[in-house]
Amino acid sequence: MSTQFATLESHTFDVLVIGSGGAGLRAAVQAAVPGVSVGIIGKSLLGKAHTVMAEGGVAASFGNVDRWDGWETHFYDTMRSGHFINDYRIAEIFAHEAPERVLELEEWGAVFDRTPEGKIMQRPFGAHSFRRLAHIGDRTGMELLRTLQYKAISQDIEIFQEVTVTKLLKDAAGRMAGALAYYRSTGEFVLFRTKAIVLATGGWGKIYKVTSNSWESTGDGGALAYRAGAEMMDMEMVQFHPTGMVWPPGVRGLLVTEGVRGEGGFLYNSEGERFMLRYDPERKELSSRDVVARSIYKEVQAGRGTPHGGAWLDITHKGPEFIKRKLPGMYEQYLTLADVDITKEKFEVAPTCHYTMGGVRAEAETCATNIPGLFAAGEVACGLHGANRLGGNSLADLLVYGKRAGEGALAYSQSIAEVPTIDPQEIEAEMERVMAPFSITHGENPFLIHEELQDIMSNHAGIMRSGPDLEEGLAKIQALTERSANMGITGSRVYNPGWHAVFDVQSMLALAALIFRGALARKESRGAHWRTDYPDELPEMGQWNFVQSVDAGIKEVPVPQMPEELARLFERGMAPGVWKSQQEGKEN
Amino acid sequence: MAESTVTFRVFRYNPVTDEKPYWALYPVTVEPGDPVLMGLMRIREEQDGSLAFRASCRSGICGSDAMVIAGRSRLACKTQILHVLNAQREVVVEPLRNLSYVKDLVVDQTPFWEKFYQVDPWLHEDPLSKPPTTERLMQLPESEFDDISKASDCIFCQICYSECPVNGMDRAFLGPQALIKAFRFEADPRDHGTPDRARTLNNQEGVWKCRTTFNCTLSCPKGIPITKGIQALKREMLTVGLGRGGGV
Repeated sequence: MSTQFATLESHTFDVLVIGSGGAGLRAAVQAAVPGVSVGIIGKSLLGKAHTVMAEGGVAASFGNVDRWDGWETHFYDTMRSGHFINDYRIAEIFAHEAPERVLELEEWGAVFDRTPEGKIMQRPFGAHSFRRLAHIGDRTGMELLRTLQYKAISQDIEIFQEVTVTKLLKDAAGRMAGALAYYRSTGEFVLFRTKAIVLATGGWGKIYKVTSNSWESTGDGGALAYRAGAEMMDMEMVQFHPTGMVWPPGVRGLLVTEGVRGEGGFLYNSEGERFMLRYDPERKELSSRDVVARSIYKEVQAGRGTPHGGAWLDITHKGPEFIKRKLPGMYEQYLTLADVDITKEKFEVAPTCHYTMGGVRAEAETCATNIPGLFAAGEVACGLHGANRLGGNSLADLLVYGKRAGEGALAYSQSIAEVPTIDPQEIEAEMERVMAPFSITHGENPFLIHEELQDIMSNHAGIMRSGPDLEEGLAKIQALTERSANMGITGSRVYNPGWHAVFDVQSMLALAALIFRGALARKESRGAHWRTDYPDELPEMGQWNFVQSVDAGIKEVPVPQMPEELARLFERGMAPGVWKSQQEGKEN
Repeated sequence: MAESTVTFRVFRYNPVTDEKPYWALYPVTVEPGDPVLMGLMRIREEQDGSLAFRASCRSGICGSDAMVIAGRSRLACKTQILHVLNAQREVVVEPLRNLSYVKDLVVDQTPFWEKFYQVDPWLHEDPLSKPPTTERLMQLPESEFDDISKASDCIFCQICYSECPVNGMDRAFLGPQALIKAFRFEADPRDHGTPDRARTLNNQEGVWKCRTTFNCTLSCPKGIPITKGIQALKREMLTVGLGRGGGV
């Protein structure tokens, strides 16, 4: 036995939560009942998770502003926008429970903007039938994360900051038994032994070159689960937001709110043409997100892009006073981050990778995965959003399913007498693997491998896809994966970013291949997945989710069919609440 | 838009291999609009992958990339390179002050977290009231809503902690960041935690150590009136001392 193993720091919990964003904290809060030990691991410092970036709000059908709203309409909107490959049961529970979860947050101290009567204020958002997003200014995600942070601190939960998990460990029977990790600050290993694991590690937007995501969004959790044998579903579904910042490079991908177009901004190509008049004469700049994103993309492809590959967004005609009053956040964002005054200059925008709808297949009631003892919630999980996510649904998702995953893991842990055993040899082998990059001199630079990966994804699996392009991209990913085996680093184990990047890159490469395979299998266009060789949405394909695993490769799994009472909600071709409001209008 | 080359003068220190800290110089090609964080990223990607600093969202929301740039604590993502060059066209980058070094630009934040925990940073419910079963109607007066809202804007970046001269002299002082978080709850009419918090706030290393230099308020990247909040806490602690606030 190595000395490294003999001196290995170890912790034992009943429930271990990996990921300290909204979903992870909500799960930990739920699981931490008296007598149950709970640990939570974050890759960054507590409170930095990508949840803080959510601005718009959290979708919950209170009907505080539009009284016709209700869970049926939220359910309807979610399924429709997901193009009906969502798991109806996941969406149903979600729509039912979102309001309760938001109110509970308020009990824990969250502050929301109010209506004149003192109720929680709700704002409109794309493809929601009613004003539905509870919010506080444009920092709802931060308020939500802070509240959960405070709640977690008030409970008996052990918090590990800046710890990277490199492997999920199972016992001989295939049950979850723990995780091997290392402290980023010291580079020392730490072993977690546990009865149940909640995976809440977020998405993998950093797989793309242009993304609104934080640097942490490297898909660690998705890759950990996949390697451990978990089923991954709808991996081809990646959401692109039409307007992200483009220049300078430091801000590339950061979100430019839809509000700029909402307040009257126009999109132009390099020839000065307002091209949206051509793509959607009726809705123009305010067409749906996928249409605007594709239009910008097509202009760039046709050689009419801006210097850095986007479109011009111009709102200067509205005048400085109007812009500063209506879009103070955007004005400040461009001024401080890019040194651009949007009251005086047009600026470049381009589609940016925003969210990964696909992920670990989890069951609706408890978030259980196919691995006993492994639960998944939030962006890393899959099933709620189908082929397209609605704005505001991700914050509601992490509250509803964070809680359910915490409950599920708690109940499971209580059904198990002893913490399962881990084979020491497996731990030793993993420690060796993690240390290997130190002994490779003149190896591949992980940062440059990451850049190549991003180029491949952007060129072959971006907004526009086609069979031959995807095939070529997959081959490139496979070649890059082979090269990545030779990633080497310099320096010591103490806070070494190059070393950390090696594991990020390994995770992203694993998931990149799954995106290609899913995209090749889905021979149609649906929601975020657009294939030029199959430009139409095909009813035949809509019956399937594509599920991938290490053991079984890729397989078609039937989309669960709604029971009759839910299916009936879609018969009128309009949202139940909208129909109700129209009936009422007729009566009056 | 013209490219130009500047020099990053970066504080480097690895406690395992270096006897003492040293300056490393890196030439970086920059465009107008490039923030300091971009320069550091490029150095890490192209020149030295072991250069350590924290960063996440790159848009001033997460508060990870606070460091001392050209002599002042600031967020690297919100600081334009061309605005902070010295006469030699150098950007001087150092770790935050008042916290010990982990490596390069990364500091040990443990003291901050310990102090933050000490102020009981969560909503203390009224032990006598039952949780409501329906939505609670809440109409905070605008000024109170503003107070809480402003104090909630804190992004845990440690800049105020780094700029506070009292923290520099007395490491036991709670510091502006923990105090403004205490204020966030003390200002909340739903909170009943004053007696618990007073044990930490109303003593030598609590609110009374603050010397109102306003460094925290001036340096806060979110524009939070931290000093004002601390002063409000001092007034509140006076009433606690006089036996009107539940008492310690």
